[in-house]
Amino acid sequence: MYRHALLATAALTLASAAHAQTAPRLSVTIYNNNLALVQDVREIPVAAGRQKLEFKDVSAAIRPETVSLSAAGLSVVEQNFDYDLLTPDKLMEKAVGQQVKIVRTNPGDGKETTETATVLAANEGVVLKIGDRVEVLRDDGVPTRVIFDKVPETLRARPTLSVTVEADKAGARPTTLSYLTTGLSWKADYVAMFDETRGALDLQGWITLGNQSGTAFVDAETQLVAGSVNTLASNSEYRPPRPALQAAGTESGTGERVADYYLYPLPHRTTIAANQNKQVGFLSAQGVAAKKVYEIRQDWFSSQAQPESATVAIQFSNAKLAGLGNQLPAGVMRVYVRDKAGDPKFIGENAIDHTPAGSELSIKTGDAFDVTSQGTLVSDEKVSKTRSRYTMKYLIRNARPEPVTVELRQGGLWRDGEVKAESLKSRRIDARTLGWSVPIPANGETTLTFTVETGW
Amino acid sequence: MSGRTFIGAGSQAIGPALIATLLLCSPALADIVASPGPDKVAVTLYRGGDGPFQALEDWQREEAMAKGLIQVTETRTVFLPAGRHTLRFDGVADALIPQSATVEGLPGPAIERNYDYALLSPGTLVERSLGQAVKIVRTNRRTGRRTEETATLRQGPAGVVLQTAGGVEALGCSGGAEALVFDKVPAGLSDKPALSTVVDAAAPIQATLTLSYLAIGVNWQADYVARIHPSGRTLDLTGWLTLVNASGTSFADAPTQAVAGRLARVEVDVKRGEAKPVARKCWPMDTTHHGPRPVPPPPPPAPPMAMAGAVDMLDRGLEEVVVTGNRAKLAEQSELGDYKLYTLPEPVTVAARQTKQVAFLDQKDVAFQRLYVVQLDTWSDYDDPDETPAATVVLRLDNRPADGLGKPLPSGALAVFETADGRPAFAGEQALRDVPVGQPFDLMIGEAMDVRARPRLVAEQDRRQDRTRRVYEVDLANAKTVPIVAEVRMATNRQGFKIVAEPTAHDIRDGAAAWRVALPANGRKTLRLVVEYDD
Repeated sequence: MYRHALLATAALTLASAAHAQTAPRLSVTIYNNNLALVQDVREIPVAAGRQKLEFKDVSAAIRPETVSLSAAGLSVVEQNFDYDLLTPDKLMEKAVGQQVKIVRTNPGDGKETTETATVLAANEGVVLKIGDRVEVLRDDGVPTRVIFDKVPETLRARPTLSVTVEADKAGARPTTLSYLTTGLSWKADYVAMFDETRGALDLQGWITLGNQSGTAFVDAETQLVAGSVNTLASNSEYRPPRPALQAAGTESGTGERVADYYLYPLPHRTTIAANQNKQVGFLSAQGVAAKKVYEIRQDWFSSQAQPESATVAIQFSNAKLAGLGNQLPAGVMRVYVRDKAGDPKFIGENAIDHTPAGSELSIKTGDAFDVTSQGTLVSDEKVSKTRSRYTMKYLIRNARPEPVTVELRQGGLWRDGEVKAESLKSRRIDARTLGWSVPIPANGETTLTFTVETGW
Repeated sequence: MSGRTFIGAGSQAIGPALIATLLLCSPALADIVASPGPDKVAVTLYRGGDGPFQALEDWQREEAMAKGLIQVTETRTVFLPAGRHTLRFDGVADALIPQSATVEGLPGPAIERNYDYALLSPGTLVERSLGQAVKIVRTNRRTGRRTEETATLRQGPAGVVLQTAGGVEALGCSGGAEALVFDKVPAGLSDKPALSTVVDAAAPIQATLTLSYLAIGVNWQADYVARIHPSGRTLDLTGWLTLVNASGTSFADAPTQAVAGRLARVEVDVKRGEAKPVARKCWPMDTTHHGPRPVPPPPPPAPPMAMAGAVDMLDRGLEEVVVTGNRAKLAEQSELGDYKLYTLPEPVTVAARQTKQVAFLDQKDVAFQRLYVVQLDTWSDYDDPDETPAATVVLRLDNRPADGLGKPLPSGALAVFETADGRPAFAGEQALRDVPVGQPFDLMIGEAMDVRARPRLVAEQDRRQDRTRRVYEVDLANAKTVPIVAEVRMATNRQGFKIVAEPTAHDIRDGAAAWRVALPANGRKTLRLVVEYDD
């Protein structure tokens, strides 16, 4: 019986090649938030009755409470996760009261002498009993090797999962081991080639998965789940605010779904090595309709000491009609344009959230060098105990050789906010915000003035 | 239960068979074809971070370097035999962002792309050889005889434990001379992080690939020198692109460009490679006459080269400024989307730990106005004689062709030199923001010695509706032998602020109301201002 358990251990540690059985089918499902489900199916030879199966090649970042082992005719008695790790000092500690061999090398003639000693204690120093002498190990500074008989059963090279099972009869059978592990995560990376004159975007998507679990997953069937699955650990983590969508889509995306999430299976079995980033392409689309917008945002009525650059954003839709029609898992979108010579040049990047198909996206790429705005608070008057009147003047300059339109957003409206006068027609974005589309001539400037009254 | 989980001699025989199996079934372990280096490389630098490098502390500079970005485009020629291969790109930048890499020109679709950052180090060598056969070599210090023994690595690198034929032993605890000898480097360990792609080639092919990626550790800024003509009315403005390569990678003979403007960026975690330390976790070592093992003596001081940390390197870099090109050949400016692109006139080598400067601007006779600015606000009573506001020397320029300029000015630092007795004298420096064409800008270069301002609050009155009226008088004195223009500014960022009376109409400068007063040589004037605001 013990012999069989030993064989099972060997098989699990070194793959079952040695036994000419079916290779373990490893499958890994990776979630966005530092979590993966590992499933390991292989033939394990078991003896009839109760025995302990050890699994050494599981992820070092395993969540042991999630382990489940299943096979026909096998019932689990108990599961243990042992993490008393083998180190030289532990080895000595566990050898107290037992015999070890010590090998001394005589510094005078270089001769080695081997003796058997009993370890009496290992506190601050190691006290040995050799024959009828009591000595401290290496008291004379002479090189002394200590040879232990064996590694105690409870000390392990790495945290080890063991499952005690009861088998109905002897014989190999396919066994499924599954568990959750941390240390694996993935996100999407997008390369967007923007062509302003065509008003189009070529989009490529890559899945980037990282393995910091400390374990390699060899030849694994891999799939990725897009979506934020709740975990207790992630409840206490800081979650960066999700980048907003201009408008969330209502189209059903492409590909497989599981519950409320999208599933991206990798086309090939792959080896996810420890300390590796792996990228696999998953999306390629040409000619997605896109446009560039300039935006200025001011949250309050105040004067600006310096002109401020307008932000530049690329806006597009991942709707079918716009040329895409795919959901976009959360990640980073890097935007490129071609320079005069036709070479792609990076112009900025931004994070996107999980984006259902049919959504409107706005990717901020950076600040415009040539389009600037400077606001001046011209007057600030109290019209009653609870109301103020503000007059703002924005000088918006355009040093580009073509006319541009700047979307100006003015926040700061409170109760009963209303526009009293304006040099250009505004629209109300929301209770707090006014918006103007300000046209600026080529190599020119436009002054926008307006007066608003608002309570506070 | 059996305590022996050790795999005996019998099962060791399966080692090679196992490895062969892994090689066959895993695409990541397919044949490795190494591309030793690029044939050609082109780089584009992006500026990152706030403010000029000169304004930063040493540790901030190091951070600022990491904020810059470089786009590297490499041309590589590789020979690919037919079949599935792992194509490894050696000699890429050491702080590359693997997610940003793109490879063009592959004979087939890339199956996957990998970035391995497990580094070959004593610790990882032990870690990845666990459970494998190694040799332990012991040297007798007296006789010099070396004895070799085969052992299996049981634990490491935090406390190495070996299984030999004789039993279990710890490494490095005996005081003797012991060494581990390995057969081979375990797969997946390399001296530097390695970027590779798995690709299928239908037939043997000589492929020319374009590998492009972003990396951090390289930054740039513009550095300007303004030389004021003796006349005091115009200046010559020269601009330099200062390229700082704080990374460990050199870009040889590379067509080089720099992008001016501020890019949106997402924080990135760059894996510079992971090594593992080896720790001895020996048993307690006290003896009857020695306490805890003495703290090892400090290592001898490193030679100066190695001692220069990353931060020092930057300083050293800045000291040995390599000036290439000359004024006749300026970097050419073009447009890149909403940014400005500067192309260096010829390929250059941007060496590791180097600062390189190339001229991009040379404007003669740029008109400017010299002003003495006094900044006031309504919060102060100006009754403390020890606190008089200083007059700041300001050069006011307008970035337009009519004034001799009209060129985009990327952000950086600007140093001003005046000519005194035919010799240049440093007159101050100032950070410069991005200045597009058509925009006026002020350079605050220092405090004036000979121009003084003394503001006084001469009256404060209660007005109706919880308002206060204040009357300020500002005495301006010019001790210079030439007439000057002073500009008095009053902050307006106060509820209900209103100017009630002023000697001349104000305008708005840097968000404040501003009045300009001409002062004759060795003359004085008083400016009277009446303002109101809500309490």
